[in-house]
Amino acid sequence: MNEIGIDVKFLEGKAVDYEQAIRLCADCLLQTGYIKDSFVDACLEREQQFPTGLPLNPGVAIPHADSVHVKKSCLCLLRLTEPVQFRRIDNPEQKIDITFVICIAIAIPNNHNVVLAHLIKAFQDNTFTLELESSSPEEVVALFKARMLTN
Amino acid sequence: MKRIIVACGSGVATSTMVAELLKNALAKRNIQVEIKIADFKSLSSLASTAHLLVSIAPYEKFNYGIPVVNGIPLLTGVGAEGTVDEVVKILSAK
Repeated sequence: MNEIGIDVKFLEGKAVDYEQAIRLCADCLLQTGYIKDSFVDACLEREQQFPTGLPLNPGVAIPHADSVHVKKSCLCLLRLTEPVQFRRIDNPEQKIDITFVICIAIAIPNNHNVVLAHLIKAFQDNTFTLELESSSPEEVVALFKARMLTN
Repeated sequence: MKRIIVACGSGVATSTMVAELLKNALAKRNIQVEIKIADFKSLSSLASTAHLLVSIAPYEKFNYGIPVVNGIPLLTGVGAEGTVDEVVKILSAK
């Protein structure tokens, strides 16, 4: 999906906990050659130390790991069919329900600052995310692309 | 030019997002600043060069002698303008 400025993988799935959710994303990125084997453990460790649950509605988590574990930049957007709890980014003692996991793999050097800012702004818009939540998987891809291509 | 550091746990993703959003918000107010991104590990060497630190982990305490602003509202969008107001206020004070 290079027209939006970064590659994106889409997944729809179920996870019993945040760890399984992150592993679903990492497996996808690993199999498609974007990340190294070391990424998933680094990502899980980082999530434990500095959680990434954003208290939006629906909830969005942005797990990621240091660029040393990344071969090529890519986002993996996972829509969970049932929410999974992640700890809050601003209050690690609190858990919140997350529907969208955006696993972010960013290589260095990169010029993704604009697309990343655009991405988070899109997910702050709950008209957009509620629509993403209730659409079919194919519609999710189309809606996401359309949003990322608009200014 | 004033310099802001945006820092998070590790990896550049969140600080990149917040730095870009902050840069855009300040530009809208006609304020030019230099914004560097860093992880917490590299902060001690960089902090002396900055006027302000925007932290993506507000529960981590820093004592570098510069003001610290919570950057999370820029990530959630909730209270983002208030955070930008706070940054502007601090930048104009020095």
